[in-house]
Amino acid sequence: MPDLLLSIILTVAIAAADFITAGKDGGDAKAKKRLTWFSVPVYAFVIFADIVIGLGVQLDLGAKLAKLLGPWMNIG
Amino acid sequence: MGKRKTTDRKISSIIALQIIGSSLVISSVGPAMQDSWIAIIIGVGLSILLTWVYGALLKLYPDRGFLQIFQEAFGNTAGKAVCGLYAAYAIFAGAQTFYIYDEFIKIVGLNETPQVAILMVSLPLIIWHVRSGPDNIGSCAKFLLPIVLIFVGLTFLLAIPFMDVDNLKPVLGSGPTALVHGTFSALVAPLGEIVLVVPFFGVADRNIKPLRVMVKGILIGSAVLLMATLRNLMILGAPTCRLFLFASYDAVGVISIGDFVSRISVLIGINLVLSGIVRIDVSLYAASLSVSEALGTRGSTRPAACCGLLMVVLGYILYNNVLSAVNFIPYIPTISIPFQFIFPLIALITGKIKGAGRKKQAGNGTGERQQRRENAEN
Repeated sequence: MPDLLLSIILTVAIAAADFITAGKDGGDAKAKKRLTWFSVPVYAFVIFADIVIGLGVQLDLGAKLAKLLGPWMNIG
Repeated sequence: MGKRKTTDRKISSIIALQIIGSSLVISSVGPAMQDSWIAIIIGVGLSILLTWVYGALLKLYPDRGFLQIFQEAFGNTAGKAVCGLYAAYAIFAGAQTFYIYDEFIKIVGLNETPQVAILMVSLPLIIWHVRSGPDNIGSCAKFLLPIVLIFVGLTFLLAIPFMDVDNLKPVLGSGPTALVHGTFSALVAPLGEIVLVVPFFGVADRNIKPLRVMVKGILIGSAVLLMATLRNLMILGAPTCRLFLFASYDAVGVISIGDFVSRISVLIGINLVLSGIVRIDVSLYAASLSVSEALGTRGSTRPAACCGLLMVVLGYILYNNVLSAVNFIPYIPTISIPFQFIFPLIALITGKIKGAGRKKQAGNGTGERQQRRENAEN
């Protein structure tokens, strides 16, 4: 549980720092808006994943991906 | 976008450290077993051919960055889609490195420390590093490379009394299939990954020659990789090397000269952490630049924060433990091939065809203009 809390704090802190410093980067407003629209769902996903991982759910998608890639490995 | 232009020495240092850092992720002994060093030498030769493709692409579009070239060659929509795919590839490569980097620090040095504590220190630093611009990454790489070279050279010299040349025998005994497999693995996994460094040329000095810079970086990085592979093979032997997760760390751990020189495996630990940081920096920079290009916000490194977090989370979603991450390594070439070979090659061919078409059009235009002038004169 402390790990879960720490990882959420880390994510929120990085997201906050990102949004605070975004204005200082320069560039046009449209581009900034587009980047914001990209980052908001990513941060939401990261917090969701933090909770899933923190609760001890082991997805092990690498092994599933390896099974999927298995037939391609035999080519050649 | 960085205000200063990145110099050739900085980019070749980044390439060299990117290759050296691969020994953190990929075991120095591949499928070619005791012939792994031969596989690396052949792989280096082939990787120079690969860099020729990247060099030709950058030469064909001198005023464009690597990712902008795809938009030029494939058109706006398809080009942006390719940039999005490159972002996914860079995030995946970074996730793999970040996960093993994190596990390495935990396994080797800080067993009792929670991983999130390591992340709290390393992740903001890496994001800040990338947000500061590519020139900053280059300056760090230029500073770190001599340190890494000295440490590798020192461990090689100190390990000489513990080496057994018989461990390299029988030379070419692994068989042609294993050697081809090993060469391909060396070509794709450490050497081909310099495709992630190619976007740095977009902010480089216009006078530098990309091919020469890439070859220089590859030669320095591969020399270190070759030295480390030979050292590990001669100290531990190929079958034992394959048993270790971090073969370099364990091979150097054998060195003990008197009571004075012992436990110098910490030098390898420092090496792997330093080059690992540069490797993650490169992946994160490539990912944030690709996201920027895909969203139409040229050259911004702002997505570094969310891409960095995504890398960390992806590592934990993909793998349960370091063993599952290591077991996934043989599958990396299948994922990497389109990004290292197919997309750049198609872009080069399309660019050449478009260039030839433009030249022909320009030639026809001049002919028509000349004919019109002659008609007017008559």
